[in-house]
Amino acid sequence: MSETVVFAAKKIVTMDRNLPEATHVAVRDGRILAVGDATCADQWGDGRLDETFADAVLTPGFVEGHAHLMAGAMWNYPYVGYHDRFDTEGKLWEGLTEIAPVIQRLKEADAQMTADGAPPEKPLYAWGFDPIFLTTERLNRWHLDEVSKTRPVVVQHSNFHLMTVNSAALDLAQYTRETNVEGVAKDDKGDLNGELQELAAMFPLMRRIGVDFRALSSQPPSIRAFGALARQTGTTTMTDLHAALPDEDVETLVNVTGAADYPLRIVPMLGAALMPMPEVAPRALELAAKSTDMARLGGVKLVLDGSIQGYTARLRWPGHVNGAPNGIWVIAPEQAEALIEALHAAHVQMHIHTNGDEASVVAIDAIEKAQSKHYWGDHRHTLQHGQMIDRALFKRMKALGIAVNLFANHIWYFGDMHVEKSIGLDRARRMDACRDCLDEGVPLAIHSDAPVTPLAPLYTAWCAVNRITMSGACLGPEQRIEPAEALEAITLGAAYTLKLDHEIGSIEAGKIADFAALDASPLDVDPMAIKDIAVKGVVNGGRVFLN
Amino acid sequence: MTLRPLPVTVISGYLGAGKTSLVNHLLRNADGRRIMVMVNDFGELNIDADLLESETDDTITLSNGCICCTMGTELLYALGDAIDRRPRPDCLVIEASGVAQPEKIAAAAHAEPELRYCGIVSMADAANIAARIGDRMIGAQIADQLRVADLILVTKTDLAPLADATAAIRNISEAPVIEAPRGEAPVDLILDRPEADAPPAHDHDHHHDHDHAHDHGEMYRSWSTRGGTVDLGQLKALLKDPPPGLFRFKGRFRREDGGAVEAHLVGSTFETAPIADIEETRAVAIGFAPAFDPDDFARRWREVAR
Repeated sequence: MSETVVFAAKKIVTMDRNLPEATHVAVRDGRILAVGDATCADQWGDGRLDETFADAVLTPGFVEGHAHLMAGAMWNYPYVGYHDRFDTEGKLWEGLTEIAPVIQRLKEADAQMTADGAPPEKPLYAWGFDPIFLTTERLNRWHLDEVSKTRPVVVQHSNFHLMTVNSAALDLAQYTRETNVEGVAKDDKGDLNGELQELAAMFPLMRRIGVDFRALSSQPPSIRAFGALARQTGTTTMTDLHAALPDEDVETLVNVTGAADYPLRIVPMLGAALMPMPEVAPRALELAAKSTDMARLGGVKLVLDGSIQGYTARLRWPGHVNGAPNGIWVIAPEQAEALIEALHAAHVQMHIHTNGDEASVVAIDAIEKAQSKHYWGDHRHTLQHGQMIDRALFKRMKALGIAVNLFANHIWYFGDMHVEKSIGLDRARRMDACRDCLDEGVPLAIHSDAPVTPLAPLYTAWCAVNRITMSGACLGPEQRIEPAEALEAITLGAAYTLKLDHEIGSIEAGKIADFAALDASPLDVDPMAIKDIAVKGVVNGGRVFLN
Repeated sequence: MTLRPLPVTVISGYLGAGKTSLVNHLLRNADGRRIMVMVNDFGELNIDADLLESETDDTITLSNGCICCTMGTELLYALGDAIDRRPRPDCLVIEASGVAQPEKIAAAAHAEPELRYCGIVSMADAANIAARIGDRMIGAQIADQLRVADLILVTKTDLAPLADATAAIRNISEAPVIEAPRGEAPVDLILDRPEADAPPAHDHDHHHDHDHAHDHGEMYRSWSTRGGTVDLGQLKALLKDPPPGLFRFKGRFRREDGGAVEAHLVGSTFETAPIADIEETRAVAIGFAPAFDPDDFARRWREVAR
């Protein structure tokens, strides 16, 4: 018989209403055998006591229902952003609040490359730069020329729509004073200032410096980095919410996640737009059959509109408060309707990106039509982001069995901007309406969309509980939820949207032994301190991974 | 050896506007061009069966050397893959999705030195283009496709009058409108001609400073020249203020003051770039009949070249 391990903890928050709190959890074969006190495993025979977490609080392992594998790949490159971040090794990268320290960090990276034997023309790529918060002059090519005259230096801005590069990089892209290409910015004297705006202008340089996140994201080191980020943040199951998933990538994913020392269960979603429409459902079903314990396949991602902060989300009246035109459809609504029907009819679960409320309406209408034609009782199609869904739409979603994964982190990162520039106060204060969602009985998850905002489920919970923006204001206090509800949203709630709540999301007998080990319970601390709770490690399928 | 930049033509238009018909027409009438077709989001490879030679999961090879593939990845990666393909195709045709923003694809062609912008062709179904433009949900994106077009093909004119469609289009775009009932339009208007720095083959018995005019039926006319040197200022002036009806112009020119330059124009978009010295100036122009008059153009050309 397999060994039984009884983990002792300062406290166990189970998310199981039958026994909300405990001190011990018994694990056998990677699954939870019993929960309770020190005697909980007695009736199952002997158990070995493990006191690794004796001083920790255990919660169910966190479930991040909307992230991208690229979040791991980014850490191949130095970070030069405004906010503190932890890398995959758990090292703190302090936020840089002025240009001088950005240059200093880049100089250090340049020196490190030289010390590592990189040729002087090898490009230096850095990411996360956010000029919005810098009060000094704008970063330009001449600042970056101080870093290197020979090495192309490329500083990607945090929103991925802009980069600032040095002269060597401009040369590499063959951009000159004579270049007259939209997005290749010039100063008032007509000189290139080093700023490249939007993907097209960045494209020639990205090709030539060989930074290819598509390739990076499917490679083992990135998958391992993704796992390391998860471990640090208490996450034991995470999506890669838009993947091409050719057979070779699936094989890599299955191999890497299947290793005994890999701490994360990954749930990749097939990007529907990457193949002809009739092939999506058959491929999704084929992928579902390739699922392993640690790589769960079969879901599909579909993107309807753009982003609110980029003014590309599809909004209902009254549109953008700054007068910007309505956003764009990434897929024609009638095409979305046809695809949603086809996938629904084939019993393929969909995760549908809808940022603006008009896009959410199109998705809900399409699911309603599909459901009328092909009844499927437990589809759990999930609207991803759903940031402008109002109470009336939640009622329709409830009636149709649609779940939602709200972008709680937006409140802190973009809330002020939404009030002032994008959608105005009336709709901003009910953005990411967690309270309305729960009150209407719609299954709720909340997410980071890492790397768009950093992966940290406790931070995401903090956002949903407090709704504090960067300016310190509380945006839409009526939509705040209780810490216990937020904890459910990052565990059982997110597991429900992945159709995994029967296996993970709570600490109760029969489920997989996935835990987050914390230094305090999110239910006991001041709600404003939830984001500051330290993560000691995770248990995934009974295996212990310490930070 | 440096490869010639890959010319990119973007075909846009809403669902059912006839994009796939045009693609098949181009493939059928490639006329020696090795065309690579990339089909955007959700696109299917509906290539006429008689053109097929072989087919794999995501690539179709045609008996005339053309290839077609679905993107299978995001647009810019797919463009990168097309650039890296060897042998490099003569023309890249991107069949954009129904609500695509063709100018975003075109922007990459403008920015990337290994790509050359070869025009946006937008297609409109005569029977419903006016309604599409007015559609509350998709109207703005359909109008944008027309606004950025260098050439507009109106299809299904056997079912609905061209004049009504043109009237709706003219509120948005001044681009030339061609009637193409079954999505068929002259290939030379839509695709680059790779050897076109030489005059068309049937002209090759002439040489040295001779202009040549050709009438290609009711639709368009062409002009070509070789020899001489150009005044760069005059060349740019010509491209900035092209004569009526001129639609495409390309050439490689020896400069009066030494060196050489190449120029490309489609619609109202043009670019010039210095090149290594060449043996002989060659240029080709294509314009719509009747507005484009090769004789007038020849007179204008004499201000540019000596």
